[in-house]
Amino acid sequence: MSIDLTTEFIKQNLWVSAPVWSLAAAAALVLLVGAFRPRSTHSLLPALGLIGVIVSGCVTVHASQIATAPLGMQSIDSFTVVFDLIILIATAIGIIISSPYVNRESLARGEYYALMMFSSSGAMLMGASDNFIMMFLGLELLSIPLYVLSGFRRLEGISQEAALKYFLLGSFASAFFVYGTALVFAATGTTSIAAALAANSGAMLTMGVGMVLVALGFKVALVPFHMWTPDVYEGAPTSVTAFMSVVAKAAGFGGLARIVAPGLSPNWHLLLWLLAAGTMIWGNLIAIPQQNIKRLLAYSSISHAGYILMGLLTLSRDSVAGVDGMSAVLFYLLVYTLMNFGAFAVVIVFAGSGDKAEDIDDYRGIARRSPLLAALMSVFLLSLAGIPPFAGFFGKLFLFSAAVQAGYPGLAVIAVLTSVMGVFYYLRVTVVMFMEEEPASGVADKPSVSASPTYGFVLGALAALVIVVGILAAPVLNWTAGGAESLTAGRPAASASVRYCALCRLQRFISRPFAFDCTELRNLRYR
Amino acid sequence: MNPYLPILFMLIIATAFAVGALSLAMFIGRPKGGNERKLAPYECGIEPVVGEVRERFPVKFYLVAMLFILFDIEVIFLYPWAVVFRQLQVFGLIEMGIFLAILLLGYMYVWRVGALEWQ
Amino acid sequence: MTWIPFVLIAAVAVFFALYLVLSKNAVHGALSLVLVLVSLAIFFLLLGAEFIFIVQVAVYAGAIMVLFLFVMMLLNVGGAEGPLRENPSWQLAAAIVLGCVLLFEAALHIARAGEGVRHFPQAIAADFGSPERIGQLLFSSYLLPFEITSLVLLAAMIGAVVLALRRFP
Repeated sequence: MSIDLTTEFIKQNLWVSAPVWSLAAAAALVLLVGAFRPRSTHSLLPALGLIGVIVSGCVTVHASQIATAPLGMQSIDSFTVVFDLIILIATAIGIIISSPYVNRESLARGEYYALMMFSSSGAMLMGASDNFIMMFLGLELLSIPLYVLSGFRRLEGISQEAALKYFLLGSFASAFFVYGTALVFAATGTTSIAAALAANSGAMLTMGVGMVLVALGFKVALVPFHMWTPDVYEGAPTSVTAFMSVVAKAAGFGGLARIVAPGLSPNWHLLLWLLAAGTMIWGNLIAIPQQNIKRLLAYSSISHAGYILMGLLTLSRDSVAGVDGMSAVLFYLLVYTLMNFGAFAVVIVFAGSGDKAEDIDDYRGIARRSPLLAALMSVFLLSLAGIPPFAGFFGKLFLFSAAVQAGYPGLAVIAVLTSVMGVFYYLRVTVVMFMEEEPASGVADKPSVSASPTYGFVLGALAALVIVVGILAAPVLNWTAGGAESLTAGRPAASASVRYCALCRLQRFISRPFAFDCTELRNLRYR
Repeated sequence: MNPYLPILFMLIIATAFAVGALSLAMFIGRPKGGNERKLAPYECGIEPVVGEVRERFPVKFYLVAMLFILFDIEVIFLYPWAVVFRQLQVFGLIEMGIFLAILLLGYMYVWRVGALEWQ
Repeated sequence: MTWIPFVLIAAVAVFFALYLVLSKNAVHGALSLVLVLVSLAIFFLLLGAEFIFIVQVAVYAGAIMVLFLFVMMLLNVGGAEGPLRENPSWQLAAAIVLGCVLLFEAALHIARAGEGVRHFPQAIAADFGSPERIGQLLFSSYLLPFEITSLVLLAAMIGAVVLALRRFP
């Protein structure tokens, strides 16, 4: 065989992977500036990283208009663009939230931001993969920096423990992915996701796909594979916890979407159903007795993985249900990014230097001293709980109605019931902050917790976004629907009978004051 | 003829040489009547260091080993590349150039932060 | 005649694998693991997978074993020390039962000569797995994964430095 490397082929390759390369290049630049420039210039590193993220966003949008031909490895369709932009938004927030924290805990700055950005480029790779090999590389590029970041406070035992646990269990999950890919290749002779899943199903293919799903389930912390989550979330530096709770989860769901979208055989749907139900029930149940705020948020993030998986399950149905479900999933990922980063940022501020005060007891009566911070924390927690008018409510509403519409009413009922359980433990923190008295011993000598200007800005902006995205849900949902559309291109079309478009009704109801017209979106879907 | 036959011969010769040299030393130069002095480790004629032979290695050995593995994996990729280099022509050079440049970047970083310095 | 080298190497592999498991000395165990890995590499050669042979020898028997030994010395794993903790007896029983099941399964498949096992759907080309074929694929259709590998290696390099370097400049 001769090799035909045409200029066109190289060009397509370049553009299709441009989002990943642009972010990785920015990360490398941050790394080298950190290593070669004197320490006094290091405070400029986060700004450099932010510029890199913005450039990468522009490159992503631009590249999506150029690269077209499928290369079998990665694709840059509208799903990739929406997904990448969500990851980039999360990375930007992550960098901003980290900068005061990294200074406070005096961590190595160049390496920190570079690893964070490498991790994000891995996440972008996972959501764009058309091939199991590519997805594996994305998984590793996402995970390896995260293992290191978890152990970044390397003199503290708890951080070392988190890094080691995450690394050992994570590499076990990676081994599952590789072995699954090998079985898929042995069964079908291809590592292309679509081609492999289109092949006639056999025991070996089933085993292979199952193992790949286990690995991704580990990354997003679905329930039988969630054991690492609380320990790692508690031990890792808080800014890293915030980053990984959002980006690693989004990356895992991006990968899952790429695998579920071409059409898994129906047997898998039952399994995913059980996983989603188990994750929602167990995550919410175990969150209730938690005493540490980071562990509480860890279990909360597990339960949110269950809600999102429920939305992903709609991809198993026809294209209309799939678009509704996936747009809800992408919307939820965006909203989850905003509210979770917000909650963790407040945790960073309250914990003080050295991450001392992280127990829920430490939050007692804190509203007396810093009412504004306590109020902001309540906004994020209530949004996580899914209480209107915050964005979290609309995210949940879209997910649940998409599940009902796709024919999973049982799952939606479980989701609603477990959300009610969730309200209990989110509200408990709020109650502790506002209603309870501070421990008598240190009232006098404790200064009021005040956020640095950076945190003041970030927290204000995130809280505003959590409210605004909730009110302006329709245009955002429209945007994510565009992304979901390319993913469901291969699904069977909806039946001819007119379907009850729950999402369209909702959108119209919500967006009435803004004169948003959803018939266009609807036509798009029935095309 | 099997192309691996020369390698087999080489293995046999190497094994035979090693076994031969050792057994020759055993037969000719066997120490007669060993005493404690003779069994002690030889350290350039000075008194042997007392204490546990196995000492804890400093962590920097681990760092060197890690970096060795990473660059070893890099070198592995050069092998199939060298085989098809003529077919790839100038594109191959560019492809490998990018790959090596990224790792060179890592090398510059490792060098700069002093991970290669022993003190 | 092809079975002669196979049986020879298989005997070496099984012997050193047993030695690895039974040896109380960690360093001896690591050295016998080198021989096990080299024997496996020769199996790959017998199967005509030259590239995997090189990878097995250079990366596994070479680099990764170096790391194993360094970690042993770092942790100062002593010579003839007892096991870290006694394994519960049910573990031994379960291991024996599962081992027998595995052996039975393998024997069954060999006896039935792979019938019922799904065969590779595409015909395998004569040069499948040769370094040349791997090079052709790696530098054309699998160009993107190849280049991304360098990013993964770079991230790992930074990680090693961050976690193990004592003093940052």
